[in-house]
Amino acid sequence: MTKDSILVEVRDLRKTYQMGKVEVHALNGVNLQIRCGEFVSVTGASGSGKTTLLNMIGLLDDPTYGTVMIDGQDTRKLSAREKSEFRLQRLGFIFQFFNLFMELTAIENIVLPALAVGASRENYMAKAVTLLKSVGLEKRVRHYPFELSGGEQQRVAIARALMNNPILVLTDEPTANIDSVMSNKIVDLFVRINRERNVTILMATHEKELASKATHVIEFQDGKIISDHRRVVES
Amino acid sequence: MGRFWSSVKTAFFISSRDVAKNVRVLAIVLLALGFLFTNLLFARFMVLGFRDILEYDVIKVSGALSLVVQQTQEKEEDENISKLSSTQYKLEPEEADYLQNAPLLEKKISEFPGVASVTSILTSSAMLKHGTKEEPAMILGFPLDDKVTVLSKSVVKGRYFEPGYDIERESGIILGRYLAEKLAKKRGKPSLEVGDMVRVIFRNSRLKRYTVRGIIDARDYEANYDAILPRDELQAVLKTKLDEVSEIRIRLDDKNRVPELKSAIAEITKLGGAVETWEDKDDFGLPDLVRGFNLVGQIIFGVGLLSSAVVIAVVIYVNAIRKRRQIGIIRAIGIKNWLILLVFSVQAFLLSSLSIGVGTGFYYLLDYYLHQHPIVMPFGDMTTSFQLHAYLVTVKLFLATAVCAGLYPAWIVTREPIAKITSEIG
Repeated sequence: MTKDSILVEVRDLRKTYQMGKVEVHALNGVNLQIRCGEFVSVTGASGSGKTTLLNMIGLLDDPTYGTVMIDGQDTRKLSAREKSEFRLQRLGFIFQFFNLFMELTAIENIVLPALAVGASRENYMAKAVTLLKSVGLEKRVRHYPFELSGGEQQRVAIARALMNNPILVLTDEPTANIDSVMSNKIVDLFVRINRERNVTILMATHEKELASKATHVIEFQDGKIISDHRRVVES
Repeated sequence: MGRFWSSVKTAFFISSRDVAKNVRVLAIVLLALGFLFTNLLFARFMVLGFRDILEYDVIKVSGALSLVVQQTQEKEEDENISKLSSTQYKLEPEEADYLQNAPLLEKKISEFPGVASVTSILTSSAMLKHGTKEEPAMILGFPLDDKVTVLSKSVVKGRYFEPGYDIERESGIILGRYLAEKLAKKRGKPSLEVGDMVRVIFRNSRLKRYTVRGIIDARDYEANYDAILPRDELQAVLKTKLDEVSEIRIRLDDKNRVPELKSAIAEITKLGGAVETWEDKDDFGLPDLVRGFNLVGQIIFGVGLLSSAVVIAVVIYVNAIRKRRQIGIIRAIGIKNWLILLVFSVQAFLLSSLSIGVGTGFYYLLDYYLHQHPIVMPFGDMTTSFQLHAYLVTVKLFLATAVCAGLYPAWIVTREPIAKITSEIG
């Protein structure tokens, strides 16, 4: 896959939830393309459809209508088991709450996805240490999550998301639970990872300042895209 | 295959860490489950202990097997009726009452593998008198070297007949405890004592005086109503032949071999008499009693098993609910539901395995105490009876119940849509 080739293509994506007798249209015919190696931010007010879009692209939920193509694969044709395998092998997730296993150390949390794909210990341990170094936590390898700050926990979650070399990392409000200084550092880390590793990142955030650090900014309102522009970045 | 084992290792890894995480909570859970397991073992082994003591109650005085005179019941009844209708009815058909060639039969039986010891006895109904009080009783004529029964070890007053005992010199008799008490009642005493005189009228109408040499309490209703004389003495009184006996009592190495040895001994002694098991001898509905207790034990066991399942299900469910978010995240990452279920199953397995260890420890202490201080029952000292097979069955059932109980709440959590969990977070 070359830089600038289409990694994700969303066509006429719709999602309707039934809330009692009321139908809520969370996504209203969304069309977008994400190129390989882009850092995409999706912004918008709460309830605008950011998380729903990430759930559809992350294969966590099924659309009511429309298509999500990832790396040329029509995800509608995947079974639940294949979707699960696709997520494990090709996608990375970072959530608002870091959701680390409290009884596992930082490095043990990071190696979990690798263990699930049956990687060899030598490979995953070396890789996990490298990832911890790349997120600046080389001195926190054996620390438990409760011994780490919010920002450090989120960095462990980032390292975990990168463990299986995903083609796309999805992150939903990754800075919602950390202070502004740390939020900037986390987004800067995404920028660095995106540049250095050429990993495509799709980040949902309601903070426009943080969103503006991305190379591709999409703005949502009432389940529709109201703006979609790319920024030229000097490499 | 490599991926599967890697997943299993991952499940063990996460589960063991989770189990060991909070030592205080772990200790409480292990105590609760451990006590439940102890309860399961106790219910099972106490019933087995009760069964053992009921069985032992019969076996200890009658042996596990007995060779007795073959009875042809229906024919005999017809004959008796015909005899009753005539004036020629003879109360005791003497020859038919005894096994012939007793020493030879005894030798044959004792050579049989699995037979621990053999003793031949003579029995006779008799009337015992002490002053004006009289009681019918069975007189048992035992050889002085009896190793089948526990009667010689059940003396509570006086002494039993030691080998070489000379009856001519002392004319001693051993009385069962209840018989001694009954004979004493009208004399204003609670029981006859050693040295008291009793008169015995045998079934051949012969009367003899004996001095009470000892009183036995065999913790057996029947045996405590009997009187014991040396076999030679009874032989002399009844004027039976030297090779005639009423019964050959047989002790086995293992009472579980009774059915097998019954047929084998019946085969080698088929012309000499009929073989009865201790169960055939039982007149008190022992199998019904054992069945009843088994049922009670099974109910207690079943309830205990369900209680364990509930405790484990609650523990796992609380854990699964507490980890709902994490489960949602790892499912989002792509970790399969079966691996998550495996993690919780392994956790249930680890908890129940540790509980089995704790519960077995508690049970061992209880077992030790009960063997030191058995429950005194009218028919013997009751205690638990540990059996490895029953223990292993209990362990397997406990583990299976625990894993199933652990699986269900985890399964509920893995059924929830991932997007629902993750959207609740965000």
